[in-house]
Amino acid sequence: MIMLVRARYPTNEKVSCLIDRFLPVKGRILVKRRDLVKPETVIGVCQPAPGFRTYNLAHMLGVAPDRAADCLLRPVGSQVYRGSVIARRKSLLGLKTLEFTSPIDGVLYHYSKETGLLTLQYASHQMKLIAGVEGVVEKVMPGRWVQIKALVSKVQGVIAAGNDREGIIKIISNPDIAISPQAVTGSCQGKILAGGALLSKEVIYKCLAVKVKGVICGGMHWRDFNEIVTPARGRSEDVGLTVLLTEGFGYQPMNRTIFDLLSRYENWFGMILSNSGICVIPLSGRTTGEREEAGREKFVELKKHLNVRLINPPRLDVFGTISKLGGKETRMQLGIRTPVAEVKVGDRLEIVPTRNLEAIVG
Amino acid sequence: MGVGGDRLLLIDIGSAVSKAYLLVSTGAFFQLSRRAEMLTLDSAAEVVGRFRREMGEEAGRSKVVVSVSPAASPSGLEGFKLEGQVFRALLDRMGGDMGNGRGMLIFEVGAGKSWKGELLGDLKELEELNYGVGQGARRLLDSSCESNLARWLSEQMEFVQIGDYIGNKSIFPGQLPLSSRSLEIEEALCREILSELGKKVKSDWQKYERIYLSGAVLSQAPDVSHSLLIFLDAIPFEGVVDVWLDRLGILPVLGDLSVELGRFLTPLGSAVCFSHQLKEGEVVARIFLDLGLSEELSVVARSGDLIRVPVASERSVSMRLELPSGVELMGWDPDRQLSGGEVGVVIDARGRPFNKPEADELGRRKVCLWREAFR
Repeated sequence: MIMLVRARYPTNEKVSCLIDRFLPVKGRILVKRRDLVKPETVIGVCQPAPGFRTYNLAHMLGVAPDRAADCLLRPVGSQVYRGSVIARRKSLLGLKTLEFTSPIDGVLYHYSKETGLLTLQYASHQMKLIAGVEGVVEKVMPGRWVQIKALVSKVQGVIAAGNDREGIIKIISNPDIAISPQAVTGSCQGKILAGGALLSKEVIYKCLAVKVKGVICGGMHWRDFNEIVTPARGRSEDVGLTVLLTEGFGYQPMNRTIFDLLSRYENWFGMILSNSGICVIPLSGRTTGEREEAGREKFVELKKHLNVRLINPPRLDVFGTISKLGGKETRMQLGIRTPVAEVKVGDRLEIVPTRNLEAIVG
Repeated sequence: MGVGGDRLLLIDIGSAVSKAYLLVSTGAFFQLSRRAEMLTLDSAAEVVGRFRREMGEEAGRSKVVVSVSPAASPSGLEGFKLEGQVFRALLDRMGGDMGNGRGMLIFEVGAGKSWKGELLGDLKELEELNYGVGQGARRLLDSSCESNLARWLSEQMEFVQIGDYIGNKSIFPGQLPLSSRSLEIEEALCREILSELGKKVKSDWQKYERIYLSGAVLSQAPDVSHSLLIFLDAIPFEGVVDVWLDRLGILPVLGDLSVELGRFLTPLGSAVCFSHQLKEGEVVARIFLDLGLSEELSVVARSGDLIRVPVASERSVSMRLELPSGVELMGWDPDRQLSGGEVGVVIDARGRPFNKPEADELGRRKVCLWREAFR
């Protein structure tokens, strides 16, 4: 009987890992293959498209749209600065003056004589992408991304949402209690918060308000998670916060090994790589001689004494050790026939379908 | 495809779980010798290799046929058929109709995607639905809501818990339900997906004589009667239809092989679905079934009833009806024989259009009563 189960490596300390660093838009990569990089090394630059803001100038000046064009003090295409006067209208024989001052630094992009709408474009800023890790450049996709081989410690989650983000790790809650909104304070700004068994919508709102970069938590209700992934129906978006769930949906106490590792690295710099569903903590030093990440098995053969997690929603926090492998298909209590294994959970034995097991490796 | 050799190793690579079936020829027909399953690996070649080793020497001399679900994405797919192609081959092979101008339908509820196959005269249509009971479950919930699932549960459950279960199922699609509550959620999911598939059927229900049901939730149901009940709850069928279940989950790979389907599928029996809008408790029909006994079996079906009459497989039953006004049995031919099966003859007097239960106390009572009728 084939006894394969999915393997999970919840934590890995001091392993070499390939980390992809992406420019948000096409730009220029400043490093080449085999270059040594430090966390602060600038590896790429780009010019993200600046946003626009539109104002009803005609309405603000109290004139018809075509007449408001005559009130513009600068031509379309000129630079504007926050506080500088863009348009002026004198009324009551010059006794009363109405002015429109620029609320942003940018460019006077467009004025419509039909609608009276004035469009200002934010000034574009060059964005610098830093390596974030110490390591060796392995691959370069010109203008797009860089792959760096680095020494890291890492946490493997089960699902993530949001863009890749980085920040200083801060433990926010014990692993088996829900994160409280009161725990998210101004000191959390720019940080990656870790811990807890449940990340509620209220906590998400608080995190967005204080500009937290990311949250690593055991679980979250699926509905709330879905709102972050697709806030506008059917459209995948980034809400400005990255979430990494380590166990699954619902109230799920964070795996103790994961919590302990994150606690050891509190106040270290971490990165949540959303596509891979991991959090990496870059370490200093060369990768030579360390365990290689690549080539790890995604599935492992079930055998006696293997540590496993029981996948039996709503509970995903039951762990045990294989004590006996079933030889053939067994009829479960509900009548489903399936291959099973005997698992020692604490001091009791449970018969579990092999499909409901996940090997905990490493 | 003609079947060469005396052994066939059929491998179905699903998005969550892969299955293998070793068929051995008896001379006259093929029969199932062994069956195995495993989680789907990243490499199709490795899946095939492991199954070959598992089946031992017998598999070494077998002709291997592999089908891959489009929702699965293993590497090394060259030379393998995608599931849709196999279903299409199945439709092509089945021919125009059942010989009496009536057609057949196939519904397959997979983990990542689901299918509806329709065969009626010149119509041979296969349609894919992006919903499933595994990875595809989240997509269903994106466009539906938890209350649609909650109405099929026999106990009250918070919507948030239903969402969490489905979210987890999409992360761990191979996981099996271990509690009756989990099983009910999965069966509810299956009902909603079947219901969506049913909306895609082009012709009138009474034009179909046979329905094949396939997919893990239906195949693995603890009791085959669950599968028939799921079908009746989800598909608003009107008239009489014979329902067959793919208990082995083999249908996706049988497609273009000239093997006799009946040997691998389980007949559940005939479903008799009346169209009416009578009030609950009013008489829908007096039904007289000739079971070959000294007297006919007389059954009074009232609005809201679901009645199961056990009739063994390979037995036929003739039926006589007395219908009050306002009740119809679409496409009914008095000469038609009803078929027995693992469930038997089922009389569905709940009315058509079928009003699905609400997710409230009354709805839950109804759900429990319907389940009780199938025990």
